[in-house]
This record gives sequence, C-alpha cells and structure tokens, in this order.
Amino acid sequence: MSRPRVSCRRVGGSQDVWAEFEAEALPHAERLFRLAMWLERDRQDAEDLVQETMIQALQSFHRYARGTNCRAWLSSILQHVRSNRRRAGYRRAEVADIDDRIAETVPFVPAVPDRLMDEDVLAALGAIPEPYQAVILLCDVEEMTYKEIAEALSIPIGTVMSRLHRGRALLRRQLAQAGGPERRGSAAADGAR
Amino acid sequence: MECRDARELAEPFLSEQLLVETTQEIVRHLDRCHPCRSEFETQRRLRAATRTAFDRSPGLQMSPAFAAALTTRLRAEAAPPGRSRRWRTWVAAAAAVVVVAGAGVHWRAGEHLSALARLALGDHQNCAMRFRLAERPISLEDAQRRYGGRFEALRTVEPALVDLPAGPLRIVERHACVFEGRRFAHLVLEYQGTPVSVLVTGDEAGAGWWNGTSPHLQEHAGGFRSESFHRAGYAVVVVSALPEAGLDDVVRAMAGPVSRALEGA
Repeated sequence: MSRPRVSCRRVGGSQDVWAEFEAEALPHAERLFRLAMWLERDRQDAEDLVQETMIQALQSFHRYARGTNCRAWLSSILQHVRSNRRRAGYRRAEVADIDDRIAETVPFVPAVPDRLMDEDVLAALGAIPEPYQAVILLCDVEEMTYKEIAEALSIPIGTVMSRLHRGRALLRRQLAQAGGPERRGSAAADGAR
Repeated sequence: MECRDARELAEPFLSEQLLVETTQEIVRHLDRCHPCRSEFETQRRLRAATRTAFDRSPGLQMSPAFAAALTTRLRAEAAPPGRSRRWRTWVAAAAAVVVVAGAGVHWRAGEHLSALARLALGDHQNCAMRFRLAERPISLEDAQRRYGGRFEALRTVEPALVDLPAGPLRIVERHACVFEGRRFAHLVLEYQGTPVSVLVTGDEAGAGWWNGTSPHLQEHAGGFRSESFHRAGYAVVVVSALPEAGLDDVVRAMAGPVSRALEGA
C-alpha cells in the first residue's frame, strides 16, 4: 500500500482563486465523473482520474481563459491525464491503425429504432471501438467543438471528423442490431442512397 | 445542393461547425427534401438520446461521498500553506490537567502521537475519502468479536452536541479498518460538508507518555489537521481538512462521549 500523501504541492492561490474555481469549475465535476466512469469502467479508477484532473485544473487555473468553455477545458485536461496514465503503462496502448481498420468495415447507415432506450444506447456505444466512443462523447455529451476535441485527444481535426462519421455509423449499426426488427423504425436514409 | 452533399455535411451541420453560407444552403435543402430532413432529425435524435442516456445512467453517477471528498481535497490544495507542526493548548479542554514529567517525556509523547496522527491521516485519506484500503473495513461488532478491546463501545457513541456553531454534525459511518498495519475504530462524520474521521486505536505504550486529554494539534501539509489525545490506553485522533475552529468544534463534541466509551462509563 502506498504511504499517505501528507505533503503535496501548494497552489499558491488565494481564497479568491478557490472561490472562482469553486464557482466556475467545480460544478462540472459530476459531468466529468460520468465521462471518466465511462472511459475507465471502474469507479476507483474514475475517482482517481477525476481527482487528478481537478487538482491539475486547480493548479493551472490561471491559464484558463475566463468566459470560454470551462467544461471543455476540464474534459481536455482529463483526456491528457488519462493519456499520460496509459502511456505510463496503466492500460493497453491504443490501437494505432484503428481508423484504417474500421474504414474497411463500416457499412451503410442503417435505420434507428423509433424508441431509443437508455440502456440500448449505452450498450451500443460501449460496443464500438473506444476511439469512436471518445469523439462521440466529447461531441454529443460534452458539446465540445471539433477543435476542442482535437486538442483534447491530440489528433488532427480531420481525424475527429472522420471518427465521428464512422463512429456514428457503427453506433447506428449496433442500435439497429439491438433493436431487432420489431423496434426498428423506417429506413429514413433510404431516399438518398 | 444535392442529397449526397447535404448528408456528407450532416455531422458538422448538427455540430454547428459550418460556415453560415453552407449552413443556409443545407437549411434550404432540408426545406424541400423530406428524406434528408428525416435523416437529419434521426441523427439529432440519436445525439440527444446519447446525452440523455449518459446523464441518467445510475452507474455513471458520482457518489456523494466522493463529491464531498473531492471538494475537501481541492479546498485543501487551494488553501494557503499551513503552519508547521506546533503545540497548542486546547482551551476547550482546559478542565483537563496535562501531566508532564519533564521536557523529554513531553517531546517523546509528541513524537509518538505524531506518528499515530500520520497513520490516522493516511487512514482518513484512504478510507473516508477515497475508499481505498488493502483490507476491507469490517463492522465494529465483528472487530469486537475478533480482536476484543472497546470497538463495541464506540458503536453507539453520539456527539455531545449535534447542532454546532457552523451547522449540524452527523455520524455517517462506523467501522473498523486497518491502515499500514494499524487497526482503528473509525467514525466518519460530516461537518460543514467536510468529512471528519475520529480514529481510535489501542496504544498502551503511549499511556506512559501522554496523560490527560489536552490534545496535540498537528497541521499536515495538504491542509489537513489532526487533534490527538489519549484516554484509557487508547489514542484518539480526529482528522479533517476543516479549518482549525471547525476541527475544535468536532473535538469538543466528540471528546467527552468517546472518552466515556473508552473508559467503559
């Protein structure tokens, strides 16, 4: 067991910094945790990740541009912290050629069930490769721009866009499979194919 | 704009990433193309469903305990540097007489309690705040059965006062846990939205050095404070990131009941 952490680096900030951080950044902790929990799939790991993210955010709060998207800023830090941890051997390395491999296998976009159940959506999301999950979550849930996602994941904007495109197609395929014929909606995309 | 062009731009259109002119072209196309409008609506619906499912999923929610611990940890990080370890007279326990045999004994008692306080701090951080211990906590009843001592007596201890100056004090958890080989009876309390641990551990050796209830205040780096005292062969350490006055409030409320429980009164 590691020893208790009885000494840590000080922020050197004042009560004003804390008050501002508390008002600006802390309210996003819950959303940040959901993202961490989804990515880590383990509560302890998610808590560690969020705690480290928030501490780093507090320590570099002077660099946060007031009035910009604080949630995106925090999500970005979380991705960097997670990425560093993975590089340090926490997790398996991300498959480098994932885009190339998936590009060959993405089918045409199927219809989506009329009724989308939360569990079906999350199961479908969890079934697609992780790099696609990440961009979809950062885009749809965190409402980050492509540029913010690119910075957070350290990938080019073009890759963000292609991953979103392919990821959504894979997500729809998963949902169509999960929904079964009786729950499938009309093939809305037919008209343009 | 043709259907194919519109659909290729659906992603950036729905993400509001397109130039105004392109957006207007797509809007014009959607006005006259029902299949594309339907497809765009499907994509919009799927995005909303993803966000909603994510936000509502019970398995993804942050626990209140972690939320409180996180706030405490961050507040401690943001706090101005604390003073180094120091001795202090505890005014609230002035009724107790400190019996000190000499400066050497005083120093040894301080070192002894400092070591215990550091273990208690480790337990507070890893158990009350991060729920990460090598050995799973057990109930006080189980600890009593297995190890004897006064674990059972702490099962019903309540604060002498629950309405403290800065708000209510409540006990949220009681168990026995082990940190780095030291077994504690652990009462987890909450005061001012901050976790507070009252940790009790057998300490016959310390009894010879430390007599009385005048507490030993220690300020640890990271914004944590502990107050320790000795009673009936047990060391009692109260740990929290509360400000000094807040910690005093808790010690005042708990010292009497805990002492009486340990003395078997």
